[in-house]
Amino acid sequence: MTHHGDEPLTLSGLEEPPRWKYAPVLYVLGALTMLGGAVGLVLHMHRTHPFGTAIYYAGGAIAHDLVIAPIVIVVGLVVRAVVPSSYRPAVRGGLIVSGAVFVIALPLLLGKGREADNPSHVPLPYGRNLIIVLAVVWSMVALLCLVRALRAHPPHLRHRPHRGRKSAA
Amino acid sequence: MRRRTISLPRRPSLGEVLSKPLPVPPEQLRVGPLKEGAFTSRLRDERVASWLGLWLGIAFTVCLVTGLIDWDAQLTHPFIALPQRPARFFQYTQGIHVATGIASIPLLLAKLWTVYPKLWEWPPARTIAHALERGTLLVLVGGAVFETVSGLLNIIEWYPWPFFFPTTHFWVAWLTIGALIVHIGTKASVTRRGLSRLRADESNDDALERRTFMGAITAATGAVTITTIGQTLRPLTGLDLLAPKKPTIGAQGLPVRATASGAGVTKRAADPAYRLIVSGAVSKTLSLDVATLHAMELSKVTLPIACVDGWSATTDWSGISIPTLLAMAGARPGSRVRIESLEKHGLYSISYLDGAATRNPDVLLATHIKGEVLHMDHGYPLRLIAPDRPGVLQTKWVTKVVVL
Repeated sequence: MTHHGDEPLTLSGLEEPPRWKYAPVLYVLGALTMLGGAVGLVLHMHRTHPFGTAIYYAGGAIAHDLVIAPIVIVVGLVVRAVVPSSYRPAVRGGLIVSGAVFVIALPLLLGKGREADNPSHVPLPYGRNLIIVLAVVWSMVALLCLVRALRAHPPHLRHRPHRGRKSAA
Repeated sequence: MRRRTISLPRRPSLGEVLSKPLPVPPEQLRVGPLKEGAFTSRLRDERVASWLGLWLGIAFTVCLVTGLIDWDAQLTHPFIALPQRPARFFQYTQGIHVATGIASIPLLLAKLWTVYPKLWEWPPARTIAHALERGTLLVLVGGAVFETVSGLLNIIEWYPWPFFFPTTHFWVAWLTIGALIVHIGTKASVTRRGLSRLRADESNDDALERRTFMGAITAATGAVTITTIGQTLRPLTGLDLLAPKKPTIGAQGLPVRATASGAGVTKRAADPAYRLIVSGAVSKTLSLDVATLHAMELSKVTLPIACVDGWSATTDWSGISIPTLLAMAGARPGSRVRIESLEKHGLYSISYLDGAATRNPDVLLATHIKGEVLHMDHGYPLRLIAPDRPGVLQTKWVTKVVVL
């Protein structure tokens, strides 16, 4: 870490502050904890199936980094290109909330986990319920956009020039 | 060459080895997201990342602690036995475990989006220390995704993988938490700075945009929580729209985890030859049929059944209290007992009650729910119901009580 020009920058483009003085303690503690986890996975391999676990472990990160994240980024770019800047926060918020709700609802929408002999498990009309939730979310987005529009062009201001002309006449 | 001129070659210290610059790959490889300035959103900010990191750190710690409570309770000999009171302690910890796991999904996605450019930083590894740190991040991100996704699929009982969920979820948690501890070490100072800059945030357009972004993430976390937590939090049952269980839906108004047909006990549970056998360290072995059990003096309790999957439902149970049963058999009060189900092979066909539980008159072998004979799926003819106990240990279709 002696090359001054090559100092790593944080997300905000600032130089990284010096590390916390007890950080090495956490490195050792963290490494031992990870080691414990790895040993546990191997020792219980009849249940943990390390190869299958590794596939899902790496698969989850790869699926996020190479599929989900790029999709989200593309959606973000489309919003930036299409939605006027004053409505953007509300629309972006709506998309964030919808996306989160969709992720947790997706396994249910796929009808997975249903058991023919257990009507108490995944018993709800999840498609309908998701639509209800999304309708509430986007009503709120519409409301926020409306408030925004009214603030930018309040009705009384819109009428004022009209009245002004009248009074001048 | 140099070695010959130095009389006493000094071995480089660990710090020197770790921070020695690594060769930078050729610049031609720096394409696509690796290019400088490939990511343009100003929302990807140290302040936002710090704020998300703080909340995720809290969420993962809560999940770890509540998960360990469940893990310990399911050991044959728990390190710390759950208390008999408050009776709803486990219901809360397990509800919190699943609710926190669900709430951390939007937080995790937001956090990964915020720091995404770091995945494509150039050069990929500046030093060995940097390479190790990035390797740990791979463990952290992979583990965080693994834990949240496997937990989410487990609560709907969808198992598309070859591993056994509880064991794997437990050990991967340690990998994840270990990587998180390292990550806290590497990021503590930058997070502290980020959080203090967030507090002192100026009121300009960027700050406003950051605040609305953070507000949206808060709203997303709230939305996934409020539409699922009704599976355990009774006042919000009406908002339980996207959870895999509803506390009011099921035989006798109570959800079911394992059915009688699924456990393969339907025939034996309905067989007139069924007997409850109380044996082991007793002065008189008991063998009781269903009619005798129903004719006994039944105790009443109102207790929740709290599943490790994050749902719970409370109802009125009646049945034979364990202290009474042990007294009838002439067993020493406060003996440890083994409860055995008609289910032959399941992992949860046997459970244990410690001395504190067998002294507690609220611990029942239940015969009725709200005055009705137990539904077969709730464990007819007899099921264990006890305060502060994982649902999977509220053994159903009980046929043997062995005093140890």
